[in-house]
Amino acid sequence: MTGILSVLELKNNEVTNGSLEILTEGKKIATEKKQDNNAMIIGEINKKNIEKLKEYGIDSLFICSTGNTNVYSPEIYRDVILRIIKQTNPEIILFSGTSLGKDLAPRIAANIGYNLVTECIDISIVEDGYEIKRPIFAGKIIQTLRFSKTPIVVSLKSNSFAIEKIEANEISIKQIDVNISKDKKLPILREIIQPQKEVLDVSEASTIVSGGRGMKEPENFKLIEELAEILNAAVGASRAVVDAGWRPHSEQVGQTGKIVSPNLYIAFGISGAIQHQVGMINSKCIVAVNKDKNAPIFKFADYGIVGDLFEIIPELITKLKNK
Amino acid sequence: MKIVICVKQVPDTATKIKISENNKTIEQTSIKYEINPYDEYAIEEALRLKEDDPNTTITVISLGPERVKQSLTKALAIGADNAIHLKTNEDIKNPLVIAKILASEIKKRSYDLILFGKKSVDQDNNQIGIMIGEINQISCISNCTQFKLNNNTITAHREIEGAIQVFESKLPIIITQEKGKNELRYPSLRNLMAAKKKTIESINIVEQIDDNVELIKLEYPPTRKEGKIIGEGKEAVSELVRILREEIKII
Repeated sequence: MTGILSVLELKNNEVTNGSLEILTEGKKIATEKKQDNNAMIIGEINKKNIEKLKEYGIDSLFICSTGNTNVYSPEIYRDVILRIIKQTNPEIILFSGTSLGKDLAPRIAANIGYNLVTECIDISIVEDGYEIKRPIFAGKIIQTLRFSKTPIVVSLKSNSFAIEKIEANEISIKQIDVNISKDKKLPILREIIQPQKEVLDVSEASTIVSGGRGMKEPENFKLIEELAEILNAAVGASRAVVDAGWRPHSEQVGQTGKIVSPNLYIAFGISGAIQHQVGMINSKCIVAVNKDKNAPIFKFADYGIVGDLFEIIPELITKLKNK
Repeated sequence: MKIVICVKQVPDTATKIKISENNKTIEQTSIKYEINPYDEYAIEEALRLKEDDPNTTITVISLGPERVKQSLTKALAIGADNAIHLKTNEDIKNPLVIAKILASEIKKRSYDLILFGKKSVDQDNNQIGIMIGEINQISCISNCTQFKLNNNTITAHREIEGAIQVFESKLPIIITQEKGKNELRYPSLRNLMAAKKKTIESINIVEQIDDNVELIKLEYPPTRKEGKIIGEGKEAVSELVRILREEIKII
């Protein structure tokens, strides 16, 4: 067993940032251990994307098409990945911490009996294996685990690793046609429900504008939405307003919602309970607006304004529109 | 229909977690244990199915030390029919080991619907339910906000980034539950007292040790530096915009 296999993802025909994060990390490990750095992708990938990948130090890229790979089937994807693992014998298999990676990595690990370590924030090579750091208790604690036996499956926490390009090299492209006849008993993806208006997801956005109980009424989230649009931000929400049915759960930030780390997180009318705090504490810059100057959120927000958000948001919208 | 829910007992999400002096364990004092929130959503889904079809039996299984019985009792009090305690001396941490133990217990009894929370809020591993599908060769749809049953067919809504995938499958199936729209129910005192009298089946688990993984240490994340209040009311907005635009150049 030697080398790295990174499982890449496409979204809207582009290689995702999460994929570039695992490629960067994979290249570092491969260089230090003088091993092959391989990657695979399921689906159709255009020339432009292959060009882009040349700057990430990949030795071989396995492009796997299954005939109908646009439709996600966990079992077919699993079988394709298992096939490439068999072919390349990697000692580390890297996934990104997206919904796809979270679904596939446990299938691969359990199928071949490898340990899986999820949500990694740091990987270091030690004498007898790897030391990996990951948050537990929603980030209240960081644990360091040592894996002395490889192979292992690793998934990286999104937005936790740098994306670094290196000098372009030629990639050996291996086109794999996988014809897997699908067992009729397996789950079938019938449809994908998209929101009426395309919205940015909190887990992918670099700016998030969040609202809590201080918004007073669901209709008032129009203000949050307007501000989010100006900032090209995702709308976030506290648990209180999700549980009240004002906002969908997909927007919830916190322990039973999403754990996010955007560049900028702006919280309106959110007191900052521990369950919310753990979901956004790793944001690079936190701004909080709350009418209660003793709200816990001011203890960890970089910049705070004490005041009435119904005056502050419109003022902020006006100021941001005036460039 | 036979439903089983694998329930984990975890520290309440409001608990302040303290690392012990050995840097490898957490302080047990002052921890209030609860059912993992995502598992509670899974129980709620099962209870709703039972309301529609009274022929349903709901079993809850929990792996862990003696204390996890409290969580099983709570599950019985809100409507589960049976409870199984897979008894260990302490919490097992290795997800693959946990998955193998649960998979073998689940395999012994044939269930139509096997439910898990999508992850536990203590170890955040996000893998056990899916692994069991693989080990027992049962299909698994992960991260579901809701699902519907129609005879032998299940339609499940799987949440992904910015959209919902609608999967259809035949039973038996494993579902890992994301938070949905359902409100949770809480046991009445009377039901809780009655549940305490119910028998919990207890099975001793021989703990398997995985020498390949070792916990080196636990530590706290770096603390954020103290922030500052830049002002009060809408007069402070222009200063905020100036900081964001010119000082840290983030917008």
